[in-house]
Amino acid sequence: MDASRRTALKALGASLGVAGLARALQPLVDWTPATSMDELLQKHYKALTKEELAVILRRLEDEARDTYGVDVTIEDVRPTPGVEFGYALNLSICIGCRKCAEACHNENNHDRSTNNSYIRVLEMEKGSLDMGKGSVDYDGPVPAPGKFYMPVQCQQCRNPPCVSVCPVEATWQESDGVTVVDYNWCIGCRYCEAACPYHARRFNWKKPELGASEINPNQSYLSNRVRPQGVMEKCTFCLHRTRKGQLPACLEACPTGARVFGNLLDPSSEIRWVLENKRVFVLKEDLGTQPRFYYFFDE
Amino acid sequence: MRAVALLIALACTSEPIPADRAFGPAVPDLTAGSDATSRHAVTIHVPEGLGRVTFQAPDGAVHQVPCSTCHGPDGLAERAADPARPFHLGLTPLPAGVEPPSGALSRRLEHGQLQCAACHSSGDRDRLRLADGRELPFEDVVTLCAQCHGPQYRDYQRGSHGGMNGYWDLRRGPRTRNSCVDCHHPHAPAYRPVMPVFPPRDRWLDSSTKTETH
Repeated sequence: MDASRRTALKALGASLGVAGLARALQPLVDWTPATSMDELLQKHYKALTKEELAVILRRLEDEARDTYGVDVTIEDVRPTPGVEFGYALNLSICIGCRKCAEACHNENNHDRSTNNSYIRVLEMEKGSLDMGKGSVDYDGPVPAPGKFYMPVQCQQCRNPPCVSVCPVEATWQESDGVTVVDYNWCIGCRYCEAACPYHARRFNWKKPELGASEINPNQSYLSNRVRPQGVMEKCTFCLHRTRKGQLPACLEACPTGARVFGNLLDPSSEIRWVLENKRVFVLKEDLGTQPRFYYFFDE
Repeated sequence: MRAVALLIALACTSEPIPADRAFGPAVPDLTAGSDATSRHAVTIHVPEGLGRVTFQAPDGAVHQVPCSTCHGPDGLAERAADPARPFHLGLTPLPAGVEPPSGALSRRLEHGQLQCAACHSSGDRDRLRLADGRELPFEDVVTLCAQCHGPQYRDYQRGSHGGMNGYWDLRRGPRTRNSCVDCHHPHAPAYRPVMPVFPPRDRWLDSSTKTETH
């Protein structure tokens, strides 16, 4: 009786073990060309040599062509020494048209089905800064009476909580102040999304839906290349543009000129003039995140 | 009297606006620096149709007619634009989707108490007139606006008012800036309400449900 019970338990344990092992190996069984061995064995961005990275960029370009049927260029644009980006937004002249969010949507190859964007425009009651009461799905002619509009995106904190919580160091702050994600190193745990007090990070719940004609082919590894499913993404101040000296897409789209972008280390820059001459504040200053994104009023 | 006006006009036109006044000091300020010579230009966009009235003839054809076609020093000079005339409907913008009203009131200038001659030269309808009497071409309209709108002009010079395109780093590329009248119609400068583009859509909720609020 005992022996047979022991045998039965052994058999049960063994079958559970086999089932567990099978489950654990499922990704290998389900292996498809979409997840190449090269990708699985790819090193962290910071550990890559120039030559290794070049191979990866070509592989990603090939994958983009196979997946989305479009020829793209994926670059690795590095920070410029002596440049630290800052962004300021004039709440007095923002009208809430969401053109910045639309430009971000197009520039950064966001999923079309969700209207995703790194920018949320909050419609707020005049006289209040309670972001919890802001509305993001307002409609009708803007600016509406009694409202003001506050676009919120990544604040590129000097003390970014999203970076400290990442268990695998897949996200970090670069020398020009932009916090980036190695999409191929991210494990998708979403700790950073939870840690961000500005709700600035997005998770790719599914593979982005993009038509070939909708894809922006000018891409970079750390910014706007089409992200894989299951990883985090965030605003990079359009580093594929701004590290080449260009203005970010959201600024160019702003019809009123509410957005000011530039080099915080250049005393003659427009951003420095705003910081020195306007009434400037940062969001949730008490948290100590020290954003590089500033808001200001005209008078 | 007319001769005097003509003389004044001639005197004004013979005194060109210095180059550094044309757009104000905006451009030099933005490009100033130790290596200013290697900086790219900041160009101020000039919208088309300045100094012209867009007019749709009864046959449907669209014409752009300079003010000086009818308003010269010799005739109609001081006569305000008759708002009831369909010809002048193009003088002020209509909100999107609004049909031109038949009533005259809605077609008035909506720019403070200004009348035509406050900004337009009486002698040469194809030129603008500064408060000190000097004339300048329509392309230099920013200088004209700056006379009254100092804080806006200061912010514009410093890059915190008015849309732009191109490069933040002028050492690496040029920039294009909107002029005042790209966004503010000179005859009705208040910024008109616009319809916002698409909101974010939460994929977990029905499209009719409210999306997240923070």
